[in-house]
Amino acid sequence: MKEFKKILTPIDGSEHSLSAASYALELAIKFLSEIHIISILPSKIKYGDSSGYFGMVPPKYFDKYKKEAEMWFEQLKNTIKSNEFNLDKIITEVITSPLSVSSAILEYGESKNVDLIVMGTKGKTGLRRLLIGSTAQEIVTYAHCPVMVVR
Amino acid sequence: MMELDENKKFSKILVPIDGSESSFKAAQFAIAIAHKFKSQIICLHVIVSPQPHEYANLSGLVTPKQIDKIIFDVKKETNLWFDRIKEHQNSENNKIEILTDVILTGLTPYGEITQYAENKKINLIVIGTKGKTKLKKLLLGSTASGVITYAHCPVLVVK
Repeated sequence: MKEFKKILTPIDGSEHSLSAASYALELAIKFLSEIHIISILPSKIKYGDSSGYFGMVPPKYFDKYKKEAEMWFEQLKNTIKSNEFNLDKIITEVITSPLSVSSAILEYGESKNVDLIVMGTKGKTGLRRLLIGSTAQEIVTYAHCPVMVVR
Repeated sequence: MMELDENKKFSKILVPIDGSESSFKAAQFAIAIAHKFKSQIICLHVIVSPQPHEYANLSGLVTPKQIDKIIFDVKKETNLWFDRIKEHQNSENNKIEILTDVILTGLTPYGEITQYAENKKINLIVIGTKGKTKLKKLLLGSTASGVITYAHCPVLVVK
């Protein structure tokens, strides 16, 4: 029997990503899985990957983003009734990375050995006529585990 | 949007099957989810309409009789696949409803799958990344890619 013991859901605050996260929570409740909700803050300096310094995000900017992300996490946690799910099983994290958003997500997923990634088809960029975003496309292509894309 | 409402549950799951290992794996995942959400599963095999020059008679037309024969031949094979999937779920305690369907299409497989999903009001499509084509280096097949892009509902892609 296939099981989802660890579910990863990356969010960026967009409507699509939050709706994906609520799907992930629903699955986690049924499968009693551990759920990792993460938000990625990529470096604004492109091609800074080779040097750790240039790949960094200014701490002030990072803190501001973290505060915002924590609001999203709270918003999601509030949708769960505490009697149906142990809140300790929700792990939230804000990650800054010199890599692209998709590779940061993939790296996290592989290091934590997750069984399922649940994500929205489009993020904040949300081009209306775009049917699937670049990040979702890359995750679906390169992920080591099953991926659920949510509209 | 933020509510975990009832109608969001995966009540109807569509699994496109082409006989490849990856598609059987997708079916296993679908069964696992169906057990938790008490859902109905529909296994679908899509036959792409044959090229006229391969199957046409002398007048250059594909007759309904030939189409029936094609579907009949394919069904012999698909029944084996569907039995294999049903067998897997029989080992579990509580049974779930598994329906099967074979259709012939003039569209591409993903076009037919997404259209079928919309018509049957499917809540989740579970699909394998690669089908029978078996290109080793290909990470994501064309059918899976098309379904992800055009489906109206969530899609679970299984490696």
